[in-house]
Amino acid sequence: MAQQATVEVGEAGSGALRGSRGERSLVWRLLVDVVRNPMGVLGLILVLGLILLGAFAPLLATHDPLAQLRGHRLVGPSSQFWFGTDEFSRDLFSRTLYGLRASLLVSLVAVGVGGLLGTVAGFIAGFMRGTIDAVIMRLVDTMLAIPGLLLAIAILAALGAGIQNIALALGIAAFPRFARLGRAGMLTESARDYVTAARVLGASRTRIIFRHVAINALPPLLVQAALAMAAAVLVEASLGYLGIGTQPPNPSLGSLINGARARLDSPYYFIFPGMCLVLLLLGLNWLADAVNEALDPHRVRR
Amino acid sequence: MANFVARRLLQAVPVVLLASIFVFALLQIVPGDPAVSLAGPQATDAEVRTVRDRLGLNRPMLEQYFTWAGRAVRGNLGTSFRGGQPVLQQIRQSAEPTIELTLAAFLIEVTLGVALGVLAGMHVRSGWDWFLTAFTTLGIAIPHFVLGLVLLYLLSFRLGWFPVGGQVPITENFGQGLRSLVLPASVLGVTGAAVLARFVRSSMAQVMSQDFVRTARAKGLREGVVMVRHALRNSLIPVITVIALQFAGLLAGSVVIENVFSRPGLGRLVVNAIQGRDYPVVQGTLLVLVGIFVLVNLVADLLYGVIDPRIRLS
Repeated sequence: MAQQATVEVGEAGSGALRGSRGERSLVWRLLVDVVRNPMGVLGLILVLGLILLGAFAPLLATHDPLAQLRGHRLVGPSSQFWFGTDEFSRDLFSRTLYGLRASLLVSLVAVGVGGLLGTVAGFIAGFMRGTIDAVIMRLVDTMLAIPGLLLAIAILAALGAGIQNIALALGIAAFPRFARLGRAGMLTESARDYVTAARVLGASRTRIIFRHVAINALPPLLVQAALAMAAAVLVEASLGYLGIGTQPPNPSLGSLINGARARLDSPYYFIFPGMCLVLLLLGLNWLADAVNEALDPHRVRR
Repeated sequence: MANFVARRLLQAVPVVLLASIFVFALLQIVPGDPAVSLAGPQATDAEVRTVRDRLGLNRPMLEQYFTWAGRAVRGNLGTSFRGGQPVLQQIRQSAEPTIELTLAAFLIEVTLGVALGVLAGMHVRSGWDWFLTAFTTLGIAIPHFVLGLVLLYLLSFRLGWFPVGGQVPITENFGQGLRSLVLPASVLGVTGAAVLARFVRSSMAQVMSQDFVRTARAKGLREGVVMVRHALRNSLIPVITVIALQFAGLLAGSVVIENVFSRPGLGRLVVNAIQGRDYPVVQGTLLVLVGIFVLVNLVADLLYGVIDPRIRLS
């Protein structure tokens, strides 16, 4: 850590306008601050832990998530079936793992693509101003007027269920907030001296936007990324719960809980996927809070 | 003031227009030809053509949009593919239980959210404050349908205190209606209160550190008067917008909650319509819901201007 700092100071003179150096130190400092915050550590552990569980689902699963195991219909948790089995005699532990995997994958892809496009649209709006800005921001206002879940329901109603369409719906829902933040970041940052300096040095517009402003406008977008992930996971689960998300027999956290709705006499059925979902959302929200606090040293806690 | 209202109304026009185009476009991107699916699997080409002519599906897109929008403005949202009922009639029937649920949840949310937020904001870092932190964290992390299922399991299925599902209009039978309303409204209201309380707290805590609060105390006013007339009144200004946004959130949340508690309502209507590919109903319900969201946002902005003159003038 100390070594890291001296290296940066040593190169700062020649690299003041070089984005990559600034980016590393900014993100690095942020990470250190987050890890020093107990809430941040807990959030990080939860999120990373669940991502690992989802990523290694094929290795960790004890059964095939789709296999119907004759003679084991709706049995409670045991050493053979850790989370019990469902009404089609499928192993709920394996289904929960695969459901988590599906939920995480679709949310990550959606927020990644939707967030990136939203940010770029926001940068362009903030940089160009004028008509382009007005058109983009009216579009964003309209999207923000509709709650994410309803927007996703509308899109899935038109396109039909299916994993690509869910990702598309979640991505569109993530777009407007990133666009707003991107625009705000662009507006504040482009008034700074270093942008004028870059312009004087003859840097092109694209270079200024993506090498200089983007990196300095990054931190609030990171908070938004964690919050958007939480929102996407929640909407995806709600869609699954409503039966218009991931389609059977494939599991998702929401559709598992939907299956449990009709089996209230088997509480283990909804408890495990429900807990998984709650821990994921808890972790993402804590992480967002910790990043937020790291960015604003004046605010001790909300 | 009239100027402010006019300006704000004018700003809402493009949003409504865009939203209506979006909802209209939904039906256009549905895979497959609606005329074919409507005419049925055994229909001849001629029959499909008749259906297409009747619905005006072979007209230019722009003309179709204006016909549709013009009818919608006059309250004609088309007829349901299933059963042939007018869409507006279906929406009206389903709106009643949803309004009942949303209003009850709203009441719980605002009472609980403002009370908890004010308590925590008045005494930052006290027991109340820590309780609020725990409450908001859980309220944000537990999805409606998970909390709903847990309560449904414990209080309805195990203890039998509340019905496991269904809805009785509260205007028809107060006792039964209340019993079917308490759980869904609480789930929506309490989770909403968690978000609201957080805003009220930070707004209250901020106002408490302002000079005018100190001045009021220095004048020798009683603490209660300082709190209510000076601190609370000023801290609630930004909260109004949050409350309006939260109201829209409640309406969206009711879509899920209606499903958990098997209540009839707009949410059930739209989800069933999607599953039954009843597009006019989907379109009509979404249009009505989006209209309500835009209206609520507008009212919030106007209220904001009424309460805080600075906003109107800037």
